Amino acid sequence: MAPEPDPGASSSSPRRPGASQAARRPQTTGTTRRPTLRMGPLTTTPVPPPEPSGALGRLGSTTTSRLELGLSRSGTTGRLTGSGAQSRSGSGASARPGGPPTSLPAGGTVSLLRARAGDHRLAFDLRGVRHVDELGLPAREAGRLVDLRAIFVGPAMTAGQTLAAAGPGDEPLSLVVDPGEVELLRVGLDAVHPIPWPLAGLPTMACVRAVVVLERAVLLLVDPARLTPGLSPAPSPPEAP
Amino acid sequence: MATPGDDPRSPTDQLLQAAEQARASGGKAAVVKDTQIIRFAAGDRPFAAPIEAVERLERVPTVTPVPRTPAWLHGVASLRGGIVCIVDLRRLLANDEAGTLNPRSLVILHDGAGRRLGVLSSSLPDFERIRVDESVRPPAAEVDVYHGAVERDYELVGILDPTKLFDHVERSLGDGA
Repeated sequence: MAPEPDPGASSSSPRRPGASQAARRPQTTGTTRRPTLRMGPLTTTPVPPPEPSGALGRLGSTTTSRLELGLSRSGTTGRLTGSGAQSRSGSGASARPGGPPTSLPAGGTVSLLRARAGDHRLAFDLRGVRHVDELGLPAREAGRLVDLRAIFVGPAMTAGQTLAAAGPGDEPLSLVVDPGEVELLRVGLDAVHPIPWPLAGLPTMACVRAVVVLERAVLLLVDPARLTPGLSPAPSPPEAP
Repeated sequence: MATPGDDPRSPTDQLLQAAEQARASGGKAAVVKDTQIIRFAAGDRPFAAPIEAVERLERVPTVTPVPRTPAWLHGVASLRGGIVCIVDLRRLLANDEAGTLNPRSLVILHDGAGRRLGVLSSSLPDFERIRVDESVRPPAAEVDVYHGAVERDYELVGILDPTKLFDHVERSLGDGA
């Protein structure tokens, strides 16, 4: 959504002392409530403005930046943890100012959330993730808890970080991943590949729709809609006879 | 049974079938044509593959492990042309887990039907031309993934059949999953 124009900066308003300076003053990021990134299902309908109580910040490139996510439905906000929320773009592009959500952005790029489950790197289509819960806080939406670490690695002994996403039939899910490893990415569509032979039929890959290449590493693109209740952690690899 | 005039799945199939039929007829094996193979090693086990089954040779790439897969499946790698699974033939075919592989190169195999596999090699691959009558049957105890074998340095070097190898990979993953 485009920010409302500053009446003080309007050229048609009577000039006041300091008005020209105000007009030339660059927009500050610490106090503006301009949304910088929209989430949720991308449609062409306008997104309701964020709630006044939600503090928004501009997505930057420093390690202290925060990513504020706006829900397209409830209007509540969530943010990545303060443990070093970062943004990275595979194509060098930065987050664009807020505006009406559209289908896939122009230029053939897609926004993803990257996370980790042990040694395995996961990716999520940003359009399917509602918010990211801060470390130590309970999940905003209870939903069904799905520990991705148990699916891909094994039973986890430490607390994780949760991503709220839409599961099968739009069921709310709380996906648990390694804490402090959630990042925003923007990659070109040519980085997304189908699951290579012969992995597509493996039970562990049942919730994986594709793979994403990022800096020579391969991320598993997880589809929350495939995380059915019957999807249980895969058994350990067989022992060598 | 396919005859040489039929169109089998791969050209090598047709060649070896003709050679086997010639030997089975009791006469001296007719030399249809020479064939070229690529020899490589996985640890101390030698392997070979028909040149037609080799898509290309690569340096050892960055391999990303795949969760909960057998030890012989090292993972996947991004290479020119897409994503390829990387395997250790020692462990896949011989359950040989002794020592480390120390890969020096990667051999990309394909079966001409869309399946591709990256095989780690602990040696730099060699090209070699062999005569049809040099090809012998591989040892019966080995997993049936070979077209045949050639004798080199007093040992048999199995010539991989990519179709049989890829089928074996699928069966192994299905059994272990």
